[in-house]
Amino acid sequence: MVSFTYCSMTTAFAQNFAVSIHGKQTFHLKDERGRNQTTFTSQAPLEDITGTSSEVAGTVSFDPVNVSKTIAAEISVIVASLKTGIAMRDEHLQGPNWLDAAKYPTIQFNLKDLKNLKSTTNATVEGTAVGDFTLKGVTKKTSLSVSLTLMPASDKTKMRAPGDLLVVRAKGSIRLSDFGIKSEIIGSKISDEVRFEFNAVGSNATK
Amino acid sequence: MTAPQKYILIISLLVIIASFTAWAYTGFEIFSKQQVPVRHFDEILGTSTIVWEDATIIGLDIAGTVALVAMLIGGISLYLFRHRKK
Repeated sequence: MVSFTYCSMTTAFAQNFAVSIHGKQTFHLKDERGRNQTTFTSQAPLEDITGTSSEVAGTVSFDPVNVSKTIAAEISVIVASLKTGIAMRDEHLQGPNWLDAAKYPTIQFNLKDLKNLKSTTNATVEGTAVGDFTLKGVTKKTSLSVSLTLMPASDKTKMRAPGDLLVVRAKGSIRLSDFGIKSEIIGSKISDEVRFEFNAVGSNATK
Repeated sequence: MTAPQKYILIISLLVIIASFTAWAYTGFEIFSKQQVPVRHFDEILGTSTIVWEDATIIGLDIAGTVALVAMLIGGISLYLFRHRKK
């Protein structure tokens, strides 16, 4: 599981949402259709690899009036759900020489701080999330570009999920070597630097 | 060149050409794939999702192997079916 924990957020979050949402809200990042997803890419001389995981779940909760002190979040990504388009490669990826899904079933990220927050629209806030990224039992401090969009319930949003919706987007990169993942094919078939994107939608009406 | 040798040569060349043609047709990939990522955009949420769709992508790993085997079989067969002086 990837744990996203927001420890602080400026009140700009509440000030820049022209919505009538009151009280502490908990958004559950759960989508049975697999639309919540983590995507990673590796660009190496021999091959460009794209992988995904749609077994993503978690929660984001906050009080719109006092977000900085009340917000908390956790997100889960199952290592065994990673797919790259080649069954044998997926099996190797989840094996003990790579991500070792049996021993480390989840990838974790704990948010420690949000920096450089700015409002791009009345419903969207962007910033830099700094936190602890844990992969294969190793934890490293990592920065991600984060975008949060709050969508009040409407006829359109009800077509996707009930209740108010929160769209979470994040981008970042890690180095496999920083997490103790080493192989002779890193550099030729797989790049050491792996970029990833996270897209998830949460509803405060589902569990 | 004997008649069997001609047939063997033609068949080998056809197999080699077919394998590399298939490799080129499916995108000059290095490694073969069973699925390809297709991105879908959600206009309401503004998010995009990758869906894996079944596809047969013949990479150089398979095409090259097939071509190499065809060359080996063709070469060995050409030698075996050569004219032998009595």
